[in-house]
Amino acid sequence: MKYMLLINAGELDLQDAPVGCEPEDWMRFDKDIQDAGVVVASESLADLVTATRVEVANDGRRTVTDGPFAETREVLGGFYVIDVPDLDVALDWAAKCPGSRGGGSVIVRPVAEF
Amino acid sequence: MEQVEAVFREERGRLLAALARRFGDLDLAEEVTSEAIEAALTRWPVDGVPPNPGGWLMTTARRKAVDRLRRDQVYAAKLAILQVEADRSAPQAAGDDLPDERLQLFFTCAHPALAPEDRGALTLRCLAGLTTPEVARAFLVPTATMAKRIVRAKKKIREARIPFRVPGPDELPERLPGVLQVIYSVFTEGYAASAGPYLQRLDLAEEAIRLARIVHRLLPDAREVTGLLALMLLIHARRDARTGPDGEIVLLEDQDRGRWDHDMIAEGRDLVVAALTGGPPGPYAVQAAINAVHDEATDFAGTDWPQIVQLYDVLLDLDPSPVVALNRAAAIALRDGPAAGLRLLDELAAEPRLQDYHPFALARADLLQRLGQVPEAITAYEHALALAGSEPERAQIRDRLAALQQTDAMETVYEAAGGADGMLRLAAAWHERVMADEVVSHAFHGGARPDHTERLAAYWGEALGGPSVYTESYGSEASVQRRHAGNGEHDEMNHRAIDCFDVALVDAGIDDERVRSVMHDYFAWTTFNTMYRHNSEDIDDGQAVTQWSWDGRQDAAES
Repeated sequence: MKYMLLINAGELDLQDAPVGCEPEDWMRFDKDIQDAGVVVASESLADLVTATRVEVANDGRRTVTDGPFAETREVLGGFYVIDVPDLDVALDWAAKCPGSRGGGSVIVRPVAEF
Repeated sequence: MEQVEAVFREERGRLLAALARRFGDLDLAEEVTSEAIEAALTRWPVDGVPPNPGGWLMTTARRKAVDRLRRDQVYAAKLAILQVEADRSAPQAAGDDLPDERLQLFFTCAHPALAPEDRGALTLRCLAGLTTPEVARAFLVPTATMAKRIVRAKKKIREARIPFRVPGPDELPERLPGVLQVIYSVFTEGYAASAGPYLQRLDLAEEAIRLARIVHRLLPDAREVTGLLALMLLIHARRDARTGPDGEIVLLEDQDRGRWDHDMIAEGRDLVVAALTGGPPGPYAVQAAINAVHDEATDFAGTDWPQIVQLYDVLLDLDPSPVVALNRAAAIALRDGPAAGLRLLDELAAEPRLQDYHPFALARADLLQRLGQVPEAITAYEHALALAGSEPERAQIRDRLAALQQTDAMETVYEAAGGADGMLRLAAAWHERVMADEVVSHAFHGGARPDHTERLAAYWGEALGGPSVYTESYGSEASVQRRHAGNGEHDEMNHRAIDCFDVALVDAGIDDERVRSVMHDYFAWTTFNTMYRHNSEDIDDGQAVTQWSWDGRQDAAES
C-alpha cells in the first residue's frame, strides 16, 4: 500500500533551534527510510519564494502569478511516497520524520489505487 | 428468538473480529457475519446445534465471503480474493472456540486516525453488536447521520488500511488509553445522559461494562483495564438508588444505601485491589479507589473525606485536568467546609473547559447557596440550567432555583430572623450586652426610655423588611438620626457596639449563617452611617428608614 507523506515544515526559529530537525537529523532519517527499502519517490522542494501559480479560466486564458506565499504557518516543504503494509507502519515513518517536529507536521495520505 | 439472538451477540463479535482481520474489510466481514448467523438461526432449530458451533459459523461465513467475491469481481480484485481462497484451504483451527481476535478489532475501532466521535460508534456497532439505529440512539443523532459516520469510518479503515492488530508492548501504553476512553465515554453517557427524559441509560452503562469485561479477559495483566472495570462497577452499583420513583435525581447524600448492589461493589473492590497492586496506579484505578471509599461508607456523613481528598491529589497529579480539579474542590468542600471549596472553584473559573460544563456551575451554585450568597447562587443555578442535559438534571436545578428564588423574594431578613419576636429578643439581648460593656454603656448614662427595647426592635424590624411599626407608632427616620447625631468621634464605641450586636445575635438564637451575616452588615453600616451624623442640620426630614435585604442595602430606600 502506497502512502504519501506530505511534510509541512514548521516556522524556522533560529534562536530556539527545534529539537530533532537539524540537517544531520534529516540525513539520518533519509538514510534509514531508503535503507528500509520502502521509498517509492521522494523530493524536497525549493524555497517557497521560487513558487509560481498557474490558473486557466474557462475561456482558456492563462494567469500566471508569483507565489503563492502561504499565509498559514505551515508550508509544504517536501514529500516521500512509501510502500508499506498498513497505516500504522506509515504513521511510524511519519513520526520518525524530522518534519513532524519543531512545530512542523506530516500529513499521511494513502495513494489512490485504480 | 430473542434469547437465541442474545447468545449470538457474543459470537457475532468474535466472528466479525476474526473475519475482519482475515479480509481487512469490515463491510464484507459484517455482511457475511450476519448471513452466517441468519443461516444458523434457520438451520440449527431443524438440524440441531452442530458439535462445533463456532467453527460452523466461521466456515459458513467464509463460504459466503467467497460467493460474494465471485459475484462481484471488481470488489474481489480490490480485496485480494487469493487471500480469502488461501485462508479457506488452510487447515481448521483445533478446538471448539473461534479464535478470539476481538482485541484487534477494539484497537482498530479506537484507532487515533479515526475521528473521536466515530470510535465509540464503531465500537458499539462492531463489538457490542448494536445496530446502526441503536448506535444512533446511543449518541443521540439521527440514524441517517450515524449511518454516514459509520460508512465514513469504515471507508477510512479500508482505504487507508488501518490494520487489525494489537499494538506491540512498546506501543501499548500509548494506544490502550484510547480503547479505554471509548469504553468509558459509552459508560459516562449511560451514567448521566447528555439529553433526554432519563438521568441514566442503563443499557449503555451495561454495554460499557460488558466491553470492559471482554478487554479485561483478553488483557488480564493490564492494570488500567482492571481499574476501568472496577470504576464502572463501583459506580454502576448505585444505579437503583440514584433515581426516585418518578425518575427524579436522588443525590449521593440522600441515597438509600441498602439499594446499592453489594455484590457488584464486592466485585469492584476486589478489582480495585488488583488494579492498585504491582506498580504506580493509573488514573482509572485511582478513580475506582475514590468510588470504593464512597461505597464503603455506611452513610454520607461517615464518608472518609480526608482519604477521598488524598486520592484526588494523586489523581490530579496523574491527570491534571480542570474536571479532576473541580471534583477535588467538591471533596475539599465536604472536608473543610463550603468556603474552602468555593475558593478553589473560583480559581478554576477561567478554565475554558469548564465554561460550558454544567457540573461546574452546579457545584458553584451549591456552595454559594450553602454560604448564604443567594443572588450569586441564583445566577450560578441559572447558568447550570442553561447547560444541563437530561430532563431529571434540569428538573433538579429548576427545583433548587425555584426554592431559592422563593426564599429570596418571599422571606425578608426580618422574617428569617424570627419576625417581631426575634427582633424583641435581639434588642433585649443587645441592650444587656451593651450595659455590660464599660464603653458602650456610656451611651445610656442619661438613662434609657422605658420602652427602649420595643422601639429598637420596631426600628430594626422596619429596616429589615418587616412592617413599618416604628414610623407609624414611634417616630421618623430623621428623629432617630437626630437622637444619635452630634456626639463627636466615637469609633471605638461603635466597634464595641457592633461586637455586642454579633454576640446578641447568638444570644437571641439567630443561628442561620446567612441571616447573621446580613444583619451584621446592616448593623455595622447603620452604626457608622445613619447613626453617626456629626451635624444634625444635614439630616433630611423626609427620608425613609433605610431598607436592608439579602443582597445588602436597598437602592430604592437610599436618600
